[in-house]
Amino acid sequence: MSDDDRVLFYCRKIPAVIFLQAVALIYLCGYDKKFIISACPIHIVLEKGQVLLMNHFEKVFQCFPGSVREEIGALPPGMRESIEEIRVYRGREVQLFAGGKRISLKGKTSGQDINNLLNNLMKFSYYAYEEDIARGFITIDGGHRVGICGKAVVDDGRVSLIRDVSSLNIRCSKEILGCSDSIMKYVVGPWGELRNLLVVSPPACGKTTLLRDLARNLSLLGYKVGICDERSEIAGMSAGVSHYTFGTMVDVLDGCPKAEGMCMMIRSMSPQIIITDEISTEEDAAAVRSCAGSGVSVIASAHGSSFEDMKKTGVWSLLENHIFDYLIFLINQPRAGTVGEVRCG
Amino acid sequence: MVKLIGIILAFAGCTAVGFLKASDLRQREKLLLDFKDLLLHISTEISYFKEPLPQIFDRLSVECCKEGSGSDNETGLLLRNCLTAYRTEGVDMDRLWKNAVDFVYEDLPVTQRDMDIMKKCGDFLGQSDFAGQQEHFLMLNHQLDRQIEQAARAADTKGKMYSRLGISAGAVLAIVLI
Repeated sequence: MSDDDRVLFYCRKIPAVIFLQAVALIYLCGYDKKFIISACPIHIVLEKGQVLLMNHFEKVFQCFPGSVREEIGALPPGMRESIEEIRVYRGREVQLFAGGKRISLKGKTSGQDINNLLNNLMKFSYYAYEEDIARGFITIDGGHRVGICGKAVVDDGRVSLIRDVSSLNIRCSKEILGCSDSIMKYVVGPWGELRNLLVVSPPACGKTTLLRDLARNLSLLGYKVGICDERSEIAGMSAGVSHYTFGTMVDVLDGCPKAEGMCMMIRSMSPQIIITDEISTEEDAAAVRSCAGSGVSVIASAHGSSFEDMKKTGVWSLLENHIFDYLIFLINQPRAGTVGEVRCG
Repeated sequence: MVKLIGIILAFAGCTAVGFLKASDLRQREKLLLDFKDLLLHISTEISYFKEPLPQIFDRLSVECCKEGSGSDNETGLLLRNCLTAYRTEGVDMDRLWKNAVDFVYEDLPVTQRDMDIMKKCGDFLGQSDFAGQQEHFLMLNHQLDRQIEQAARAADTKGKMYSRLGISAGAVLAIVLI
């Protein structure tokens, strides 16, 4: 190589060196809060065959009136497996959302049909779900969430029940093994140290599915994982057994309020990391702060579509105090579960 | 000799019929008490665990079979019947409870009124909030208490009467045959 060639070679390297120095400078100055590490969309929903798709939704179909059941049964198997949401309206057609498409079924649903369906989903045990119904949803076996709309009855300023149910939204909870593999580097550091992570997205973008798989991955790596599952969605517990694949080291506190549950977990189960869904209030934020202060890492999810949205929530103080090491923003384009952005906390 | 055997058989037959009728009355009381116990168990499980009914039925049916005489235990059979119908047919709790009561108690010595009270459970089971469930259980318990009291009285008075009547009828028949 001549001297000219050598000079040219180093000149070409200059932009790369400057870029690396800038990154290092930004990182050392602590100005990484708004620095986007990776804006490249990563599909966490991999193609069939690459990951194992588990569908626990078949049982839900059995609760529908015969005609609806037949129509769902007549759908192509691929379509049936990809059902994400079923919306049932009084006096209107049932709407299915599968693979990003909307399918309108024939035949209208009567009020009696909706009541029967809801009773069936509740296993004819209204008393077991009355507190959930007052909050507008129930979580059924398998962690599927059923949203309920109707006439709210208010008692002492609080909704005590919803009567004259007008519509239901049944959201399928999915298990996608391996969907968090690309995220694991943000949770476990190079020396095995665990980090705090906040997953942010609007509804139905795959937050809970991602949390579920993170729990599995962490457990398989040998970490003691505690799940505070206030709405029974992450672990989908039924009679003390989860419907999902977790490792051997996952403790689930099911149905317990998050803030209380996280403190209970720390006191009783000595977890290394706590996973919880949908933190939104000051109490939740205080519990997360308490976990982080106790040396227990936290992975949580929150509703929001951008960093700016977080300023309006009760968990903004956590971001101001840099409690989370990373923020992962999920989007639903081109499909649910796509990582839109990863920020340093 | 044949005549003697015939007389003995006639006497034994009449006496057995009397005793069987008396034992039916005692069995009715026992069946009602078992059913009341079952309701108490269900109500306790609901108030303590707030679990859905199929899970409660599943656990109690096993316990009932342990306590009772295996597959002959009526309450265990009732719960298992409800569970099977729930899992296979998916019909509502009202209908499957009533069908199970019909299936289990149809050939047993309980009155139509007893059956009606047992079936009433299907009208409210799982269909109201927690407080509503407890009120219904309390009301049903009162009704069952009345039936149990009536069954106990019947077993005391009519039971003795039927057994004595059986012996007397047997004796009369034997005398007539002699």
